[in-house]
Amino acid sequence: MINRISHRYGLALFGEAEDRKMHERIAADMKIVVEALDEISLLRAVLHTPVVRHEVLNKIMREIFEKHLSPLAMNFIIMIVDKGRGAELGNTAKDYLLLLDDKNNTTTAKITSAVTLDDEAKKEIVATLARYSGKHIRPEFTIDPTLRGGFIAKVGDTLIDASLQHQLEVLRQQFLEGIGVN
Amino acid sequence: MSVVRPDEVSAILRQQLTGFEKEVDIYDVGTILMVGDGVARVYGLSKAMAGELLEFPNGVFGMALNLEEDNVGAVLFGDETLVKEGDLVKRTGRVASMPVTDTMLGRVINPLGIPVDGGAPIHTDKYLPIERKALGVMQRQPVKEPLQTGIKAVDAMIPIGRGQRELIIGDRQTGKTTVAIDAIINQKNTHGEEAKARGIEPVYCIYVAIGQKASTVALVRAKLEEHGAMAYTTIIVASASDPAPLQFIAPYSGATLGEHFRDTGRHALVIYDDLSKQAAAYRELSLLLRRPPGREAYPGDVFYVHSRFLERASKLSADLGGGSLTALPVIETQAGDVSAYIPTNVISITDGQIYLEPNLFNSGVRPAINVGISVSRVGGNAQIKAMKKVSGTLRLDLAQYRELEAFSKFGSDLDKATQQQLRRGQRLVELLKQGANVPMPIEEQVVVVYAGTQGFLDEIPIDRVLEFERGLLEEARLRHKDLLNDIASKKELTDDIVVRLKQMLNDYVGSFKK
Repeated sequence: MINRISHRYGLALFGEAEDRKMHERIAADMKIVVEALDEISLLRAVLHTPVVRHEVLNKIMREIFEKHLSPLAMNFIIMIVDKGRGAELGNTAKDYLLLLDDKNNTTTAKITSAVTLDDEAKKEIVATLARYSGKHIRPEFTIDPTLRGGFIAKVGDTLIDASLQHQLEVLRQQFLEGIGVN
Repeated sequence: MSVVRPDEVSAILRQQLTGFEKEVDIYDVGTILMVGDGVARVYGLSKAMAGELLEFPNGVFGMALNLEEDNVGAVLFGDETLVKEGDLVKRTGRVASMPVTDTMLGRVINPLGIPVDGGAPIHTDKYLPIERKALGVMQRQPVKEPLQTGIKAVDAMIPIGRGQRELIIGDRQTGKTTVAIDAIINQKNTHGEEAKARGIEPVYCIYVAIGQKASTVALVRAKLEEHGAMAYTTIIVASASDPAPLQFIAPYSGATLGEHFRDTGRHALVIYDDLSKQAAAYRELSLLLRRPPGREAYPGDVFYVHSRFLERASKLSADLGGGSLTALPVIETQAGDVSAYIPTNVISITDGQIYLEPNLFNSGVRPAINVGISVSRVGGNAQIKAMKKVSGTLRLDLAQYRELEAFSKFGSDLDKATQQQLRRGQRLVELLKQGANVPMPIEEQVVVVYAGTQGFLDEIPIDRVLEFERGLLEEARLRHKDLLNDIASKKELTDDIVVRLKQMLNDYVGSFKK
């Protein structure tokens, strides 16, 4: 979801990383930040609350992140907290990763299948999705037995539904509407 | 043994299954961020079009109205409790549209074209978008054919032409719907063999009920059924219990169905009953979509909302088949306040208005049309010559009567000319009274109005005017059928007809006095 504030900060970080040719390092750093925020609710709460003062918050952030992150990423976090936008840190990191994806013409595809796919099938699906979307695909595979068979792939806003469950649903609709019965 | 044989059932099932091909479906989706008050915000759907129909789970449909930077605001046409946060929303790839077909005549449907009268499903391949651009200048021609409402006061003084937009405005309980229903019932005269012989083309009717009680709509339907008018009428209903978005799109659906008739070279009459409620429904949903409120809390584009579908009323040029779409929007005022926001808007869009007043209604003048301030801006060209001729002095006589009405209590103290004007006016007012749901054919109207304006009634006591009228029409139908036929088919008062008319009236006045 595009958030104006985080988008702007994300752009700034992206521009700086571009100039210093540090995309790889910063991307890794931002992934660490996103993961940390996703998993540790306390960290999210501390960033969101207005009760904790900036100086204290910055000290906390330094202690948590300094040994894992590059100086640029660390400075960026401190700047964002100083500006009182600590709450937007997670979104900013995600925005940066999206911008980087755009630059590399890469996109994430969420592929859900009914059974575990073998490597060959996975490769084929990824190749097909790449052909379909014209982008490099970073696949994320999950398993959902309720699909009964086949798979669903989601690339951006587009859903490619080749699951048995969906076809059964379509069939059910057709029977309900009585199409084909004269 | 069962009547249905098992092999028959399996054959049907097999037949359906053979048509079913295993295929991969590709569609654009979004996720519901929030839903409530009939409005959903959807994340994703980045390619959604404005006004596109969206498919929510459990068969609920919606329409994308707000396309914002980070989400899409959509209104739901169905029950919001069937939709929850996190559900997937699919694009349908088509802007909100409805099926249109001739078999919708006689049916009651909702604004999405789905029958709600418990009858058979409506099958058609023809879908038209609910929201269409109105025609340009070159595709139109001036209004020139009459649309007879069967109401004496309207057809004589506020004539409506095919392709016109005439507003019916008044307080609650002043007979607005009755005027509209009478107009529908009177279109029966355009469907018979007789009309065909006279060169009158049939008019198909669409009654759009917006925000009304379902029982009121049932009453209207029963009334139309009783008069045999349902055969050429479709009722589109978005009742008070339907979600606001359905009430909002109802008039657009009506216009779309009307355009189906218009674009196939036929004539249609659409009644929007009523637009005050539609404006309120639109206000509701735009406030829920967080659009900024303006005057009377209506959004800034409420004028455009009304003009968009009223502009679709038109008379097509001959190249396009010459069809027409006439609109009779209805507006309910509060305590006669016509200077409120919505009434002034709609008055300025339409080609005239019929004012109905509660004090006239209560004093027994029904239909309670205030002919002094009611106008028709384009219908004059559409009036048949005969009616134009006989009603020429009617408006003037009534205007003079109203001016002198205040003096009427002085009675015999007044001079002769004034007394005569008062006498004429009182009888004309009496003559223009008409019962509900008894529309009068135009040729009979001509006879009655002629009798009034030419002074044949002046010597008749006021309380016997209605009796006089009834008797006169009976006489004309029984013994002067050819005269009525001549007026109807020639559509003008030739010298010959005038002579015969005078003869008949003189004879009848003579016999009536005895």
